[in-house]
Amino acid sequence: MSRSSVARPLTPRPLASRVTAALVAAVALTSCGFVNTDDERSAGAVTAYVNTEQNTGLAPLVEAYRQATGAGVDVSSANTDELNQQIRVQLTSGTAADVIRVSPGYSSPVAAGVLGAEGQIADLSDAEWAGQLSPDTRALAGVGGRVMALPVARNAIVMAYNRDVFANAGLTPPTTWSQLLTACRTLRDAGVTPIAAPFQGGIYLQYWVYALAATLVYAPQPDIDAQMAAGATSFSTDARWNEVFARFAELNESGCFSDGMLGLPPDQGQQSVATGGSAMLLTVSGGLPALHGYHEAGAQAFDVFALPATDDTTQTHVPVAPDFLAVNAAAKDPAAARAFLDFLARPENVAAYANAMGVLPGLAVDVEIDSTVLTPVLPYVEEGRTTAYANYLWPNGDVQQTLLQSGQEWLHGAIDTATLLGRMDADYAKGTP
Amino acid sequence: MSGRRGNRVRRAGAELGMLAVAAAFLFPGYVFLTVALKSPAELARNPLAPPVAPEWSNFGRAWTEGGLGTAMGNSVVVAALSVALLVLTGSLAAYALARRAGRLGYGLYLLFLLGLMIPLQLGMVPLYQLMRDLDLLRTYTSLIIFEVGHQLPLVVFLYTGFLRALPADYEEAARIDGAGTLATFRNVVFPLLRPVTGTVVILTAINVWNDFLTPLLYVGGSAQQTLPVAVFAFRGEFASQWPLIFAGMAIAITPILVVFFLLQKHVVKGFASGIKG
Amino acid sequence: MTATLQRPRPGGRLAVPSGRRAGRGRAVPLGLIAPALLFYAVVVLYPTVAGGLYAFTDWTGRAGAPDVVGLGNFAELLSSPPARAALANTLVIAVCTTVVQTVVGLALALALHSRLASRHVLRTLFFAPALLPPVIIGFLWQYVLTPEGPLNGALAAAGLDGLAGNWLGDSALALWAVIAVIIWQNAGLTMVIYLAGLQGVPAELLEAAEIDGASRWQRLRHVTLPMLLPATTIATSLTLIGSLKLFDQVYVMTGGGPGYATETLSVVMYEEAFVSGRYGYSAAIALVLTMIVFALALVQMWGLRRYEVQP
Repeated sequence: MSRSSVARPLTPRPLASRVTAALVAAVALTSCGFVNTDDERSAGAVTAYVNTEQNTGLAPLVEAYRQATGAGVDVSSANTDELNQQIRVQLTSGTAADVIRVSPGYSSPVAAGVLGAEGQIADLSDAEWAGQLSPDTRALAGVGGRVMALPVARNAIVMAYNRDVFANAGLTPPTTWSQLLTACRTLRDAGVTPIAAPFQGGIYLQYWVYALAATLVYAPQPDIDAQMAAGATSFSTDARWNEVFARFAELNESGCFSDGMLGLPPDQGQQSVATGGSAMLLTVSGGLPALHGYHEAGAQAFDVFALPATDDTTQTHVPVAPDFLAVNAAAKDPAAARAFLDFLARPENVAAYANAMGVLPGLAVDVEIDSTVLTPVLPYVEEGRTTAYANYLWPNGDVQQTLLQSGQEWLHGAIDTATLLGRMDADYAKGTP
Repeated sequence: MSGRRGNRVRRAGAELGMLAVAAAFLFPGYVFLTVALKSPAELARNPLAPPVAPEWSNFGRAWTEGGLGTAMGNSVVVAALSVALLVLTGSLAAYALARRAGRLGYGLYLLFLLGLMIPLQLGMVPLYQLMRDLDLLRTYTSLIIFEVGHQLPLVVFLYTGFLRALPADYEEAARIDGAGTLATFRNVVFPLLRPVTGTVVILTAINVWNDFLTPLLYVGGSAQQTLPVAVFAFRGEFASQWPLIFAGMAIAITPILVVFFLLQKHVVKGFASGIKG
Repeated sequence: MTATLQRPRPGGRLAVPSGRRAGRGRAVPLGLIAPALLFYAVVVLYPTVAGGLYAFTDWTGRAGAPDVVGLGNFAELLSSPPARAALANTLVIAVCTTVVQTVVGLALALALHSRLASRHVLRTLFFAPALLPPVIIGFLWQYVLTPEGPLNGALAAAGLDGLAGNWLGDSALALWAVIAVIIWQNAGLTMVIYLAGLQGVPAELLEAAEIDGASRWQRLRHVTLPMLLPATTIATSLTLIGSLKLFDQVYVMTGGGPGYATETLSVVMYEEAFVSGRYGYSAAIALVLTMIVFALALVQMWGLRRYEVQP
């Protein structure tokens, strides 16, 4: 190439040949990346594809596993949105990792119930730890009562608050619905937004529905999903479901929520609680580290309580979401993949993960939790006063999507409760695709 | 004399006016940089003002924690080879398409243009499975093949438009002198395509450099992952590390900014010659 | 470039001075297309056809053959409220973005085609947003546009509180805010295309018009603009196609909300496939989107070609 350049007066080549030389060098340096060779991955290592949060929590345990057994685990991660999309494509194509993150119940195309029914993930019912799932977690871990996923952790929906703001307003955490409304008024009068409502995108909007439904719908009638699936009741006709939206509307109409809530993204909601512009935020416990990060004092500046939905404190329940790992039914070495999950399920490792991440232990085992972040809601977990997020056993993702988007229209006053619930019923009736 | 002074005043006014427009236009860029330089706590307390204590360490942390060095090497390999292949195959194809007036040539040109309009998602699963069957997942090769095929419609669109405006005289002279088709292309046509090649290089380099979803699918988690894949690893479901993401992104776009700056004249010229005819 | 869809002529439009066409007998072999066609067929044609077939099924992404549902997915598309909102929004975004971005890009190009000392720097600055990944643009602007965010803060600082708004949270404003962001990102690209077009406007022509007493505006209207029509064709084609396929910025900034105010076909397509797991339906939306893009691109190119002057 460089020789013949003399013969081509119209193409001065020094730059081109320099670029070519640089490229050849770069390619040579990375030449192993152009074809797949088996030595690229440590042979026999279990592969895992998990979300970003799980990756952080698993990293020390993977190292401990390697030291204990000599076996490696090759972990990759992605944000949950993209992860779900990719795992679905990979499962269809037979290229998925041995251990994968699955969503609870039927809440996404890669949920334990959906993949379990398709036979894409392995039945783990005979694992030692399978008896240690709390009842609400077990219902989400597979199909037909089989356990097909290990909960490495559980997240709870909790009300986080800024300690200083509460102290300045002379408030203590409300334990009843009336106290919550009173607290809102007090804070409003003090010039503080009582509750940050980052409802842009609808993600934080749904937490309200799930948290109110835990106490109002799921605690009194745990078999509501079966009834709805059988067509015996529906969002529209069930008085308790209507109560959920009535309470939500009551808070909205009493001016408890941020102004411009539909334009407020989650990060700015967290920031406003951190700076004291708002007092409270209903959040998944997985969001607490970010909230803490927005304050110089970190976790010290905040505390949490369980959202009350009635004036009877004994009725309050907390919605809890398991964070699952499952074994790909087509894993190269299922026994090795299961051995890794068994390792994660040991009490000391359950505790280590929970402490490192500030989350609830995945399994109902008696472990010591050093992290005090969730201390106020631990009694609920210990007493079994937890329920699954409402959407996990809805038959398809459209119901939730409608809640997110039509829910915004409803908060804005564009549609009434009957219309919203009617739309959710229509999506529910479509069944599982 | 007074006229000239008036001119000067007017020009100074225009200069200031455009700078004001540019300042308003670049306001989000200012926000971008301040986020990259703040700690989360300062970001919450002080969203708008410049950082009081700039956290330059965000850049270092993004670089090491995100493994951006390796990722940048990967991005360079993928972008350079993709762009080189695009220039080569696209210019050759456009040469034939522009010089063939027949129905077949025109039909093929339209077929390429259709590629500009097809949403990527439609063929995502079949293409992924094809790459799997060829055992190319987790390699640069899969990504390069994808980027070349995906960007070709744009490249063919630009080269063909340019070539149609180019008189065929030179190449015909070369052919009369006995040069073969490939020799004519290499020695006469391709050098004449230089201005539009600048445009092709910058536009396809931007697209390949910034591509995210397909690289994540093909090489995510492997040693071959590209810059956006590495930077977006700082995103979480409930908590994203914005300062690190923005610092990482600032690092990631620097090479492409430099390329644009160097090729700026060619880009403008390339469009100019491409649309004259 | 005279209209992208016009048939090519050998030798381009500039007449060969001598009229000699000696080389004509030996046409350029179509075989030169082979390498490009191979890449294109493997990456675009085959997968698109294979994926497009799913539009007529109820495939959910599972292994095994799905049931054929004929045109059922298309019927659902026309009757579903989110999809219909998305269809309308997609068209509004495409038309508004194309028109406004073209005007803004042209204005920037005219301003920077001058002898301003800062023109080189300014060109790069205005083009810079087009260099960033759309996802990052989305996150950046989501933050800038929050109710107590930088934009409203800057407006307040400038004494313009009255203009502050809940940009992405108000269903009356959100769509326009999204359109503004898209234009902000891509106006620089349109500007570069027009700057190039302006280089092709002969200075003698403008001088002649000036001597004939044409005002600045008349020169722009009757000399410059007609000669910029080819540039307009390229700029509007790329903008139209891009804005019809708009996804990342909307998905990141609003997720289609508030309500369905900013829902676009690409967002519905994504949600149906990867949130609801309905690949067949999603493929049907993708097919409809392709047809809309194709139809509008044809109309736009045909419409503009009628006005193009022959230089």
